[in-house]
Amino acid sequence: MQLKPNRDLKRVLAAASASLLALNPAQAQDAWEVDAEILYYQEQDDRVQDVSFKSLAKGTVRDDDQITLSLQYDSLTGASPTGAATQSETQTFTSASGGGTIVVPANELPLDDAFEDNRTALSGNYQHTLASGARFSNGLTFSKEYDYLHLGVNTAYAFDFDNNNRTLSVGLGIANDTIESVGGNPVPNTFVASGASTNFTTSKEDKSVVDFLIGFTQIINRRSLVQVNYSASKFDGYLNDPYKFLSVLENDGSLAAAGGGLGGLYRFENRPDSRTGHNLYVEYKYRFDNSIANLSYRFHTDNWGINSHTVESRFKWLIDAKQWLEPNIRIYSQSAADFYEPFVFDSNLPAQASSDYRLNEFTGVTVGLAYKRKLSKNNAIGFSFESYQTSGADTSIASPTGEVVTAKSTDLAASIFRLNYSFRF
Amino acid sequence: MINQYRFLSGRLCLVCLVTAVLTGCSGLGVKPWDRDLLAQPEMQIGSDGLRIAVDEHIYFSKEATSGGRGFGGGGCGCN
Repeated sequence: MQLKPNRDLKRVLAAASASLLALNPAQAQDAWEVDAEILYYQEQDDRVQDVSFKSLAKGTVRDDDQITLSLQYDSLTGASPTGAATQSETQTFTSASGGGTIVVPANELPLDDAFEDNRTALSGNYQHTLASGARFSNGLTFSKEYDYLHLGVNTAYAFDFDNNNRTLSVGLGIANDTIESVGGNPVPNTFVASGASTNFTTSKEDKSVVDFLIGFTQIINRRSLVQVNYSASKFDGYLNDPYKFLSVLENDGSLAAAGGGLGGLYRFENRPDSRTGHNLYVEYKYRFDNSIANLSYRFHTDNWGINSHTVESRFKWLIDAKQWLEPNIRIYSQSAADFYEPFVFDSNLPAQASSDYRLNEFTGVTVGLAYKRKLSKNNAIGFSFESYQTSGADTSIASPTGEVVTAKSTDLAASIFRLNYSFRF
Repeated sequence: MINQYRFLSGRLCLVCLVTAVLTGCSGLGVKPWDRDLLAQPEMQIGSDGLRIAVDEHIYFSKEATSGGRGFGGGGCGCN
């Protein structure tokens, strides 16, 4: 059916006007938009608990420039795996985080219940829009924990082409982190001693991080777009977890004997002092009439031997103009690091080893549901719940004399509750 | 051999990306007056920035790999 010329022209002009007004959301009338969120994170068996506050403020200044500021505060408590293997006998060792002696009953995962930390993180970013429409942004990041300091800078450049249907962006980030563990940083590969300080250094340790990213966004049609990113990261320096150590076993799987009143022999981990990783990330968005589907995939590979695949999907159902409901699912799987060892044998101690369960092979599944409702034109409130569970692979290792010893995987089950509020002014 | 495989994988990703930018997708895209849906805030890459940032921080502290959407994370003693 052919529309009358004047009606057709009206329709096109109306759509074009709406598009021009909405082309850059940062140019909205409201100069600032603030999102604030309270999060409660709880792991099973009274492991890590986090109460967190985070806010993100975006402001438009000088017509097209944009300022982004974020603040996050975390209060962490609970118990964290030490890296020691579960044993069929009672274990006694000294907490690496200054909590004194820990006694672990037989057949239970050794946890350090002295885990406690507060973290404050700040970041700021200024994005300048050039006359050509290209965006040039620079940012600073800072975070401080009791034993950790992070300082970082980043810069990025993005421009549109092909009638704004494609965007190419490149970015570079540099950071330097300082680690000053409670009681000193442990000397890698030394044995945990009762109350002794000889295995700790009083000097600070450093870690440098360089990130590079190149991204390409393509508008496919009126309803969909796709983004492809390649990023590379280079870490150098102290990459150990200073609070993790490994059980040292006899060939039959029992704990090796140690002096000084300790119930067994434990050895601080030692990871390589350099790591280079690559990520390929693809995200696709599709706008249905009353919903938005979001699908992403990430592949990671690095020179620690870890490959990972992540698939994530979100489906935002726009119930009406005031509210939406969004279920999400994420599936993550990674292979083990080359130097991952759930324990080591006294008769064959490796030069590099870590029993950190996060370096083991495992699969993680997240399922969640979020709801948001506008209270007025400039205010909205939302809440969400997510369940995150990991399941790893049990590891069987043959001792130097051929006896097979099996370590159970350290799994995780966490619940995440969030309440958020956003407003514009 | 494994290192060679990783080297080639990384290069292959980069070549695919550059090829897509320079030659592919030539028939894709929309006219300015067809951007009514794409211009909505929910259709921007990185919308729900706060939620994504918090999620990424949790995964950064519990998994061995991170990043992809932006820079690889960091600034935390949790990993």
